[in-house]
Amino acid sequence: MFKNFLRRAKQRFQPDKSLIADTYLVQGESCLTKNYKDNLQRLKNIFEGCMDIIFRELQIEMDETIDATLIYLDGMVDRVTLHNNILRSLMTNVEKADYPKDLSPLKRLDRIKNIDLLVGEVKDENDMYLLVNAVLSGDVIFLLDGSEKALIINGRGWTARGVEKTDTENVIRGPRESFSETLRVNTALIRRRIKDPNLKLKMIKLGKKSNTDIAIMYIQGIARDDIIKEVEKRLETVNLDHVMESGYIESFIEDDPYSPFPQVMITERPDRIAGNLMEGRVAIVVDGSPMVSIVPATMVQFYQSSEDYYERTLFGTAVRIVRLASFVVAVSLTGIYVALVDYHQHLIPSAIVLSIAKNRAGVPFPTIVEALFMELTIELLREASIRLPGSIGQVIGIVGALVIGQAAVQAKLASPLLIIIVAITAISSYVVPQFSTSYSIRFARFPIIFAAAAFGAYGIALVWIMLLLHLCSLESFGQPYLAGIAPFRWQDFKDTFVRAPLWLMGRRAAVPGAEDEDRLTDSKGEEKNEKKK
Amino acid sequence: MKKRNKSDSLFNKQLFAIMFIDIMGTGLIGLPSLMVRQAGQDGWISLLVAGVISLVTLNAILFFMKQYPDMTIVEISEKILGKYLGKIPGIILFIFFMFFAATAVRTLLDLVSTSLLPTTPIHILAIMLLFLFFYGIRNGMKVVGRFSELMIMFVLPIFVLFFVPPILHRNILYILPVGGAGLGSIAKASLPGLYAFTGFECLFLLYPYVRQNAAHKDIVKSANACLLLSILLKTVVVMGSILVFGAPELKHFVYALVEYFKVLTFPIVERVEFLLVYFWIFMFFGASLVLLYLATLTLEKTVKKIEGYKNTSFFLAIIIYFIFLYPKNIATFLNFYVYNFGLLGLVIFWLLLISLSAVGFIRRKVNNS
Repeated sequence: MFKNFLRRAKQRFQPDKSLIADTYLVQGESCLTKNYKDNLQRLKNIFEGCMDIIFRELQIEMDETIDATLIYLDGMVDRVTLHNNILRSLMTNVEKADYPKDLSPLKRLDRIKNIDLLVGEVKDENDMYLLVNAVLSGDVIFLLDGSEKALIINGRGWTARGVEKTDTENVIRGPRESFSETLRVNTALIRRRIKDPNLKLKMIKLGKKSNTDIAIMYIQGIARDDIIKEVEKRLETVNLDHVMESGYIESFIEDDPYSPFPQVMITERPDRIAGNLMEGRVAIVVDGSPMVSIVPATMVQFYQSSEDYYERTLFGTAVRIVRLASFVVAVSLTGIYVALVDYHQHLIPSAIVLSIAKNRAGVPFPTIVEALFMELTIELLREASIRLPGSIGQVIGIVGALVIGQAAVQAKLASPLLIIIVAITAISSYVVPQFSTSYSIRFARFPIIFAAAAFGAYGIALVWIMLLLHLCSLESFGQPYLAGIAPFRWQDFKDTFVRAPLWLMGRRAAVPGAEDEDRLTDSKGEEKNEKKK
Repeated sequence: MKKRNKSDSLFNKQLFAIMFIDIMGTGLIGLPSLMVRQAGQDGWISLLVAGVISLVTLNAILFFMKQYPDMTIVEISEKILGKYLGKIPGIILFIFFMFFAATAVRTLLDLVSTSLLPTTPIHILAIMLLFLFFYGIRNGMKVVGRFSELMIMFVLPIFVLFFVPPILHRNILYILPVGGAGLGSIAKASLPGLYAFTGFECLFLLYPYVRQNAAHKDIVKSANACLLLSILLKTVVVMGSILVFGAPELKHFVYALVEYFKVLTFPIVERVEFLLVYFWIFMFFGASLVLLYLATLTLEKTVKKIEGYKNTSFFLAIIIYFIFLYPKNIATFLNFYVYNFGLLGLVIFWLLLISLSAVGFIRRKVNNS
């Protein structure tokens, strides 16, 4: 308490240095005045010490020579636009004839905006807070003598990574575009796939310091109002002073932060986002992050890949079943090995049990130590191979393969069968199309290994029951996480374990529950249905 | 203590799942030998008789609950019998569910202990299990409903396997002469058969929650479908066991269902019955979870003050721990508890139905005149 008091006292008498800028900037209160010099000085004070903010002072020949200033952030402004469109039009295009005598400064500003400026997006503003924000976001501010308003000219342009190939969600068939770090590019990528004015986009800013732009996208008429409201309500609770990535927001808006399962789906594929928007979900695009979040998420979603829908039905279904099997295998295979060897030897066919016994004869550890040793080695290799630069990564792969392969067996640290099993589980945990799910699979494995060592098959059953109970109780934005399976719905079954032909999936999924349930448009849909009948 | 913040409700499909898990999960594992002990080769007829009695009871319950669409049995009885007298049915049902849950837990643990972990003491096996009950129940009815739905999908392959042994290894002579045991024995044997179908009484408590989402007609349909399906499956098992083993041999089995599956052989799986036992753990767990949840719900409805608290089931789980440890071994357990439980349940249900309807009827008459 005393410490707290000291801290407050200190604050009272030695105001925080950052507050000097903040005192000039209260949203809605600090406005521009008619005094041009004062305005300029205030802005200069705010940007004191920011060498990359350029104040370009110039004079414009109107009815008389008038002072003006362009303020912009070097590096965030497109130079071609600045030179060719803004500076050229202000310095050479302004014609005296357009500016009769005795025009008020505001009128002059208006005429510049309406007649002379050759830029697409221009608006006037007199709130200092918004002006400063605009500069920091890459806009150009035009300040005119005598006017209590300034122009915000969109000249944004910076070197950014372009639209590149997806890294983490590769597909064989389907578009290869992925999101990049620029918000506008990302939203445009989504818009290009859904050309419908009902695709709405709301912008908000989060983070008091970082002022990160966030776009909320949804399709009106499909997305349910209560879900949109819930998303907006939860985004308001984000009171961090900086938002760097969609993960920052995710941890604020998810239902159960301690669950190992992700409750917000992230993806870098625009086609996936577009598909999910069409289901009535809401997308959250964060500036500066190539990962776009989509809510509410369901378990099944993490096992779907957009490729399932591009490929033919049978193979889409087959691949899905492989994925679900891989989930079970990745979580429990090592545990099953431990349980079989420790408790239930009688279940293994006799030919195999003899070979296991022979191989394990030299291994000095109990099965659980052996299994944990191998699993931890694999985890180490995995983690290291992500961080290491590409060329060394391959070396690690080879060394790792040797370590966990031949050498471990020859040194009698593990039995060969276990190495096969660990390798299978390691591979299966990456079959999931969503990277974030592979974490939950990786870490669900360890409780199962421990339970198998303690109670054998019964232990595995108990951990599975716990996992299932947890999944049953989990909700994402108030919607059941296992939707489609529990609560069960026949319509959704067509898109969970199997992937039915698209013309059969006439209705959207129960979760998030679209306002407009029909996927097929009337005329074509009816024709199709009649044909099938 | 923490409170649940969401209102409870169930879908019709979830009711089906809960009832199905409740009925199928309990009283199948030793059922065939119980049935033939009294009725010999006609055990399956006794089971059918018990099934018909249960069907009648189920529809009586449905008819009764229809008149009070938004109340559980505890609330109805409080309305009809008054504030204090009306608590008695709730208490009776609570005790019934607690013992029923304890029997299910005991059967599960005995099965695990004999077939999976013979050397581990049963009370150690129980601790983790009871924790899971608490974990499952604390978030309310929705979780129980969803979990039951999941479990049905989980154990679906087992139900297909029910039909295989009699197809492969039947001996028609074992079942002949049909009706040879005599009417008396058949009727007597239907008493333990009643236990096999106990579980539909969950309607007493769940009906109003389902009614929020479904019409009475649909509930009647799904409840009857559920019971009919259970009757079919259980009769197949009993009849199949008789066809495969014959009544004299079947009498001496403790876990007849496990023996039933031992007949099967597959190329890789050395012991098929292990798989059955394994999947049946999930089934049993589901049933015990449902029963313990029903007990919790009854208690919550009877003692209004604790309604909505998350931790009630924790204390109930501790009580269960002491109840199920009481029987010394599985033989006394099966002979005493299971034998009498079905009949006890039936008597309780009918007493509740008759007394409540009668008092309600008289009250209405008096009020009207």
